Amino acid sequence: MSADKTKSPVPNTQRTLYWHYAWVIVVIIAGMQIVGTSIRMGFGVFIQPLEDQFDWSQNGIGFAYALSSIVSAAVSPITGNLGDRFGAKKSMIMGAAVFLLGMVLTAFVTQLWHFWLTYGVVLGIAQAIFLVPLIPAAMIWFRRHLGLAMGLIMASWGVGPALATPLIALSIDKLGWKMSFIVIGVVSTALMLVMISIFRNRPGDMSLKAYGTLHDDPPLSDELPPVKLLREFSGHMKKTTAYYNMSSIHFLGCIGHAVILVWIIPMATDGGLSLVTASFIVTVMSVVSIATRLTTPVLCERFGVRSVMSIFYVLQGAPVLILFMPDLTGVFFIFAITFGVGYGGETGGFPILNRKYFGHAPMGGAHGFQMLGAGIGMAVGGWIGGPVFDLFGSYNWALAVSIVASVGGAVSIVMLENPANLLIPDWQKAEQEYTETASVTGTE
Amino acid sequence: MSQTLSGSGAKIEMRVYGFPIQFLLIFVLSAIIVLYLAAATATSRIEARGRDIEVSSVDSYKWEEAAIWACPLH
Repeated sequence: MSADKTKSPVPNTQRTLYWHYAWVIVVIIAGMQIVGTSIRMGFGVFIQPLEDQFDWSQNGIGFAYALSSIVSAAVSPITGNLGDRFGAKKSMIMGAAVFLLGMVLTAFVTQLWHFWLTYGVVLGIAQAIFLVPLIPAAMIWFRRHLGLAMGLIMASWGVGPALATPLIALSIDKLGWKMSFIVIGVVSTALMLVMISIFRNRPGDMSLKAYGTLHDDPPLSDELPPVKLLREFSGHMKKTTAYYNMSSIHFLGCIGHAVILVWIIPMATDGGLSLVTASFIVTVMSVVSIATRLTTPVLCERFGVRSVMSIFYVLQGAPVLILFMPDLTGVFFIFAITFGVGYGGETGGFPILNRKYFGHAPMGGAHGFQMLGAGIGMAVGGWIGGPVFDLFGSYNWALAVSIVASVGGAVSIVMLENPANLLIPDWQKAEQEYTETASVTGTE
Repeated sequence: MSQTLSGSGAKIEMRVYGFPIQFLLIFVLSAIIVLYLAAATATSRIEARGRDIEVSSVDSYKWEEAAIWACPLH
């Protein structure tokens, strides 16, 4: 991406890496992801204490988790549009408030349906409000080198589970589950508010230009986009097939790894591993995935999005074949390492594709629709192993679904439009024309 | 169903009720699989309860009845 140094009068924008407030935004977004998703990542450690106190079934408690995922997915397109309309900062403040409400209310539940309502519905909505607008918010700050920024943010998705579960377990051990919900809610909200206070929606809020802006680049507006233009561009996006197909590709990718993430531990314990050793398989997958989460967006920018994405989808599906071996003793960790590579790289290309297809247009709605596909995929993939095992007495058909989903996703990626050209009109030109027209007619 | 040529002229976009066929195929096939598995599980659970308690009429949950009702194969 580096340009010829003699041609640009702005020396520091030619380099791939230089100091810019955009990196603070990246750190804030990564931090928000880790803090905001901790309660979902560590859900498993709440099951036993709730079961002990209320005698609820594990299925009933687990349904709250599934409900939270489905509610988050269902409201993602709406919250994505909210982020575009009002800016990510306001969305994050609103999301943090709903999150605190959900956490405190969950601490006082006495009936299972209370838990479904507070954890499943309220916290599900909260997560969608403050998490969905984050990726589009980061995209605003990067004119070039978006891959590096996205890689850093996505790497944080792998760090979250590794940190959250032991911390929540420690908190429950010392404080009990009720007080843990309150303390984690208050501390997480305080941390989020500190991060939100130094967050800025757009580079113009700091009198800066987006990272990687060159001297002769056409300007991008420093204001929140006009509603009329937002609606018009949302319509343009919805007319493209890529808008829908990227959501279904995200859906397939998430089915591909959700089957494994949820059911690998029961498979491993059935295969003779202890629960502690089996849970370590997921840790290995998460740790390995950090490397490919970090590098995939950069590789997508450098070697072509569709090629790199489809390769990672195949890399996610192919290692699952290992689990069909008759004797699985000793192969679980080989599987964890190889699967972690594809699992980490599966999602990194989407922001790059969005930028290639839709340019600098506000991305909240499109990203939210993709999150809808991803959320449903996670729910379906996480669920499917249970009925398959009940019916067939083994997980083989669920594994087959995982492979077919990953490979099907790879085929769908190859069939996407060529990302060399924008699929919709140029946002920068439209925004400029709108501003000029508005200033002539005196309207906003 | 409509067929349109994209901007480059090289790709045919097939749509049904405004949705791309690729998108629809994925979600329809997934919905069929989910529905079949849900109904099969419901049938299996009801039969298992019947075996356990050995009575002529077995109670079923609403979701089990809904899944069996919705699936044409169960």
